[in-house]
Amino acid sequence: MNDARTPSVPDVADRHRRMLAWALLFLGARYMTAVAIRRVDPSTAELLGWAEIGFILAAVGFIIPIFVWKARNRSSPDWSLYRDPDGFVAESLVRAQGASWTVLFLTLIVFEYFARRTEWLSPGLVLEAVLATMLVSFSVAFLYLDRDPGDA
Amino acid sequence: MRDVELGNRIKVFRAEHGLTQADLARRIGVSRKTISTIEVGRFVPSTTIALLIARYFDVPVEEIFWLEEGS
Repeated sequence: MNDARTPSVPDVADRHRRMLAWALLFLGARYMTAVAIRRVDPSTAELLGWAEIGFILAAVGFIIPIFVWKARNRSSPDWSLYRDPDGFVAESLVRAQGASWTVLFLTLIVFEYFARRTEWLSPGLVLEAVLATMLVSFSVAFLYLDRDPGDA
Repeated sequence: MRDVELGNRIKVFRAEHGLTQADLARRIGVSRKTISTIEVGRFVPSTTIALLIARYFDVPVEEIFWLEEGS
């Protein structure tokens, strides 16, 4: 880990935070697709079903390397650096959570309004739409905050 | 209302010591992105990071960071 050519532990932690955001974006896309499946014809729904599987596999593909790295390095002396919340990317993650909370709150208010007035707004649909909103807003906000300023 | 920004001279100190952003980041235990965003004023470092940078260059923290009036 001390070799200058290998990424440092804080750089690995930043990369894992980005991978987590991408995984959550794909999970959000999965829930958006699930919402769409409820509203389209059966042949389109079948196609979207395959897209759903693709999104889930993509999310898992981003998550698994994080768990593997953690399992291998948990006893490393640099483990505390991995968990250190002090840094630009870690702060971006917290700010994205705040933005996502606001979007989620507004979405729930909208759903609460329509739930009283429409027949087709089932609990399952609402749950999928809320999860999609939460995951997509969080990951998009994080990836925006973490964008490269071109200053390297 | 507070209208100040945090100026810094990290890039100058890095150049004097012949360090890249990645070198400095590795030596004080933060990521390269944290150093690059501090340098351009996009990220305000914690007191801990500011003191770690000052300690690494062996100067008072005020020689590296200062407050400047916002535009």
